[in-house]
Amino acid sequence: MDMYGQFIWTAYGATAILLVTLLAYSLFRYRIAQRQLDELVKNDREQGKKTFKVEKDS
Amino acid sequence: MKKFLALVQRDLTLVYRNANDAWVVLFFFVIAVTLFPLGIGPDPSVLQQLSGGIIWICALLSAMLSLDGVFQSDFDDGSLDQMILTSYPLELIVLGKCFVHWLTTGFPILLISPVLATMLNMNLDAYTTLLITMLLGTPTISLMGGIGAALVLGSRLSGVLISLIILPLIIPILIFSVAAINASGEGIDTSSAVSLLGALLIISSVFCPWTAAATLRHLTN
Amino acid sequence: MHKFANPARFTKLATKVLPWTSSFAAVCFLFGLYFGIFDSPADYQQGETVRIMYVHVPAAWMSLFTYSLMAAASASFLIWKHSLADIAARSLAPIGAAFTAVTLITGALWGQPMWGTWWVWDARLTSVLVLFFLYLGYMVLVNAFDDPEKGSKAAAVLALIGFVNVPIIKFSVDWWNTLHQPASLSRLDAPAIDISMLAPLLLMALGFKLFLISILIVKMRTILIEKRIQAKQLLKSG
Repeated sequence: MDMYGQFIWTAYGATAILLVTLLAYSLFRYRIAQRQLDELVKNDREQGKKTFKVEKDS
Repeated sequence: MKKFLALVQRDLTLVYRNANDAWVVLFFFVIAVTLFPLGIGPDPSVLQQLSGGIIWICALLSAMLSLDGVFQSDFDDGSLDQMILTSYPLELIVLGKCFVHWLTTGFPILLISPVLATMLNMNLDAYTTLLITMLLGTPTISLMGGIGAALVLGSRLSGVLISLIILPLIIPILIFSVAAINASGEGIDTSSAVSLLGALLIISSVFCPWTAAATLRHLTN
Repeated sequence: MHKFANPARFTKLATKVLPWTSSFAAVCFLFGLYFGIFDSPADYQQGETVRIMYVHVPAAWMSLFTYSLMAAASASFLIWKHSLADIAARSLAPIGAAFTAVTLITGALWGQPMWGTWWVWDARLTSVLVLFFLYLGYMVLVNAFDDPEKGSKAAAVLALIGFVNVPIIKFSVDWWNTLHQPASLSRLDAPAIDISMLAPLLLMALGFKLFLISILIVKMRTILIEKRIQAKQLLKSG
């Protein structure tokens, strides 16, 4: 690398930062959505069990 | 044709009743132009160089101010839905509305621009080109703005949104107009830039009402 | 094509494809970076700065490719009303915006040592900047409505109108005499570029493309899950 090294490294660094941010943000959103869905499904199942139990008792 | 004129007349009456709204746009244009000499200094030679650009940028911004209202009032009171349902082609209705928008904003700006050009010390040879570019460019803005007005109909923040959407698309008009004005100030032939502006006007007078009408049909059902 | 418009089928296929695309993207980036930074010659004119090309050019290609995909997805959404096409277009916009930002930033960092300026207002740079604005406009418009369906339709129309900018960018260096150099890879049979430079360039381009597909899959699946959550919550409250 000659005197232009700093330009090259900045270019590669900026690219890496932008793309990694995009990747991390996408994965983060995916995780949150997946977790929320799992929770809802779990709640539904418990709710289902409860109503089932109530129906059985009565 | 009779129906078209009746539609234009109806919209003009509506504007006339709220004449204040039309004046506001013109007033904004004048104030915005006034800011430039105060902001960049009163040096006549600098102002002369920038005059075409200043007037055109302010004209663009002023047009943006009023564009989101093109369909808004008809959308609010439900008459737009009826216009879509009538047998009369929606494309012509849109064309009429864009024409009224130009007549009430673009045309007054065109009329007052020579006065402001004088205050900005514009080169005397450039006045004719300024008026020609305004005459060809501002209707194109109203037509392309019609698409934008149809797109943002019913959204939040429609006024700012329309600027964000339409301004990038009308950059060519700004470039060609200012290039023509600056060239004529230096005594260079401007016919190519002017004919490009004319071509843009012809293309958009066919394409824009069609697109805006399709958008309105898509968005309102 | 319509066969994959089913969300369940898409999720199934996407789950299978994702590990492959993401790992191949990583491999392409690794080799591309190695060849690009350490194992390729310096240009006789541009010196070492030519190495910026290996991120700048693929990012520029991908910014146009992503916009074309987004316009195609928007068109298919407007014509066939496939909700999956809408989800694809929505997911593509931020990815394309990121690629365009990479193009602009690396371009500035290349322009400073080569032309002596970070930015010039020539046709190529201006039209790419407009592309960036179009991506941002799409992202703002798509979320500006209380009814998401309306946002999708309005943004789809905007994506189609903005497509006129793509050929303008592509040919701006040929139509106008600008500072930006014309494409070196216009003819595939006899490219004006040496194989030692072509290899990292194509590797990086492939890496960018696989990266695009991977992110697209993740983003589309996120939206699909969010739609399911909404449907469930609606069911509960209703």
